Amino acid sequence: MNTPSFFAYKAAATTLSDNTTTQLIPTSVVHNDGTAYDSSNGRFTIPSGQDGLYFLYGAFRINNYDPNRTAAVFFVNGSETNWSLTEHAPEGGLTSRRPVIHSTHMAALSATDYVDFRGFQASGSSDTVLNIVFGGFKIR
Amino acid sequence: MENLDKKIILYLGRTPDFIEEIKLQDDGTGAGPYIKHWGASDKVKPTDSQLNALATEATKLENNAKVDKKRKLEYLSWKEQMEMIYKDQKNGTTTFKDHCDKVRSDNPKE
Repeated sequence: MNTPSFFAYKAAATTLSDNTTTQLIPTSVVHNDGTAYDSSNGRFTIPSGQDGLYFLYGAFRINNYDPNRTAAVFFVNGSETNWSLTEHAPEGGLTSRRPVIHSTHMAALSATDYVDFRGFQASGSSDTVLNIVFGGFKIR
Repeated sequence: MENLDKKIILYLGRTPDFIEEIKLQDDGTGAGPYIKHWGASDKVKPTDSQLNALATEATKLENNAKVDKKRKLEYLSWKEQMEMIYKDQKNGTTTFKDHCDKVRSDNPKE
């Protein structure tokens, strides 16, 4: 039930360039039922015979963020799924501010389709992402 | 391409909407950011050599933006600044001004 499913994270710092939609690749795999997630390239690829509806979750935590436009989005087969883009604009000063930017998505996917998770920030210069998580499972 | 957004800002002479108008993308392959979508109507999409000619100035913009962030951190919260201003007015001191001067001199721009 609900296979394939996966959950992966990255705790090491990752640089997120200013104004650039950047793929975020979780490298530590907690759960990978069906081995559909590849931590070397951050792709969740639908295995043969597993066409269906999938739930996806992704989030990243950004360090000392200077409040501005920030977004999280899923890409399917290398293309942005615009409707999955969630944009945030955290308010307040940036001292010790580490907001979590997240997105969820439901997608009808077929064998060989692949999904990855990307982040965007527009704080004026590159920033450091402290944590990344990416997960998902087949609904039916 | 390093500091690609700053090179585009310099090329256009303005800051575009980087979510809708111009989309920069980094596919995690190690190749770095590139222009995925160019929707600016005032100028045609620049070549790599046009952008690379702006590298020095783009690096300066990026570095100064980092200085701005560091200054904002060190200026402390608006509540702490208000406290300094209140005490300066009450006691005739220059703590707030001295604090701001130090933040600026500790973090000079290029």
